[in-house]
Amino acid sequence: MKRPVKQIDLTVDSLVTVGLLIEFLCGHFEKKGFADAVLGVSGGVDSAVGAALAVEALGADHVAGLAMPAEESDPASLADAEKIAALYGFNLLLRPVGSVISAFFDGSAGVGNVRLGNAAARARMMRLFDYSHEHHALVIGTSNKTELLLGYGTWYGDLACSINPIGDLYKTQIRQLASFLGVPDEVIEKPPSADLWPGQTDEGELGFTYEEVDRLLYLMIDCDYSFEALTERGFAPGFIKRVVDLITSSQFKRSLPTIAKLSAKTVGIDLHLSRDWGT
Amino acid sequence: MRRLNIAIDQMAPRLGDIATNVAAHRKSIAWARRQKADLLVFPELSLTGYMVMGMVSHVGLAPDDLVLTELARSAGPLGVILGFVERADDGRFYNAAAFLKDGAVRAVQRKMFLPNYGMFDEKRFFAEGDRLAPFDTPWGRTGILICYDALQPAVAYLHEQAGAQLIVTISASPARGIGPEGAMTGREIFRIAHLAHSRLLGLPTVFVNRVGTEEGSTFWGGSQVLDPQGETLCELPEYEPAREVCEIDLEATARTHTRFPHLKEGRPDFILQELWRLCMGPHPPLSSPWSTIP
Repeated sequence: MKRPVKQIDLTVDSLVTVGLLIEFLCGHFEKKGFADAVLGVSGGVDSAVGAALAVEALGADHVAGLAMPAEESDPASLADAEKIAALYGFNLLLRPVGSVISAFFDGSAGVGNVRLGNAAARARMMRLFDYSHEHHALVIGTSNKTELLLGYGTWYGDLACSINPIGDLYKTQIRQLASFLGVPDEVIEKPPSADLWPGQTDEGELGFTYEEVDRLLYLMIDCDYSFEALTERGFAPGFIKRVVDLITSSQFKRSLPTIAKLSAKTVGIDLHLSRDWGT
Repeated sequence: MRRLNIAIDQMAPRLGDIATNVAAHRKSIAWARRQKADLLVFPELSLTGYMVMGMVSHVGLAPDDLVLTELARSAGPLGVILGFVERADDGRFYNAAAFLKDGAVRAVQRKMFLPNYGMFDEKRFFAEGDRLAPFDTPWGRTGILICYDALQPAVAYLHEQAGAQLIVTISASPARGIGPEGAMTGREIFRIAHLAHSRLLGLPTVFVNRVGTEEGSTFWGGSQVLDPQGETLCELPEYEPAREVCEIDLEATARTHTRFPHLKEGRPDFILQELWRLCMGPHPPLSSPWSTIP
């Protein structure tokens, strides 16, 4: 019996996608009465794409990038951030967070990598939102769909933003757009890293590659494949279960905090009001 | 030659701001009148924006509301189809379209099929229309489909069998399902439906889809006017506000029907019999379903 197999093709039309995202950004900034944007620029591919889109939509003079290295960050990341800022012509401000973190922990012993990483992400969030208030600039978030689904980000840290143009694109799709937008190959190809300690890589921490997990997530989330159908497509049961666990256990990061229902109309439950009301 | 000069305006309404949207409608009406258009079509919920959600009661208008009648007065002889939230006497709210002409609201078509899956939640906030009501105009009977109505194959057919000579679809279709090489499922499904209405029913068809963004969704525009053979008479760009006037040759419908007489051969009695069987049980009256009704 001939059984046609759906090809896993994560390619998006770059021109159409970039056009839509520029329209999305322009429309949102106009509605909300903002001309300026600020975003964290790490030297990685996600923030490079976010910055390139912001510059296309708002003009380089209206985009500020903050480079916010921690003590342990690789100096090469800052060099890449500078390269990206020079390429797209926006202003890059150096705002290290190392001293914030060390003052916060104040010599406490036994602070592990996760606490340090969360503190760095939240210190960066504070910097971005402080800049936002001071300069009337919206914070552009650059978490991608893979990270959002897996919960690979810090709640109220790097996940916090006003608007995210790339959150519905998997990491592999971001790489494709990056290439279209002229992001340097060395930035696209370097191993993705939260840059929290020397040698850290996302894929090392997660235990699988973005390419593998994006193909799985695409079939699981976008195409509604069942567990059985996924195993038939060659995905190892252990891998599928791990990914399902990551998604379900991180749902809170994709939601408002749970509010206890008491009244007739409750924030987050049945107050159905568009955040774009009146705009 | 009998002609209809049709103007289409794929605007981006401001969500919940009727005053601003009325001003935009007035501007467009004035433009269409200068262009000597007979009919001007706006997108779905053009007076309110799409994501009205729990605010329906704040933007709902009775069909005799001054907002609509004053717009109708400003349109004068120009026919106008626009989208609004209808506040019914019984307290229900409908996603609806109004037809304005000669100073009054002449017809209201409520949306029959409310999408309630994935990103859509219309049944929570709107009641479903229960009457398909094509209405008479100087250029022939006109049937309106509101967005998802166009994706239910029976609805355009029902308009046709009720004598519609023009099918107008107004929509707020968000871009989604972007894939390789220009693929976008949101567009493809409407293009297929719109073309099918024109080609299968042999009628001129109008599709007006809004632009702009709401709640992260970007509406893709791409409005079109097709002749009875599916040829494009006018097409607006995607993702940006635009408007244009084009001419529909109303006699082309009759010429098309001599070659492909869909209306004559549509057999509504047979369709009714089959629907009766599906909905009412296994023993339909074969010749006339009405005979069993006492």
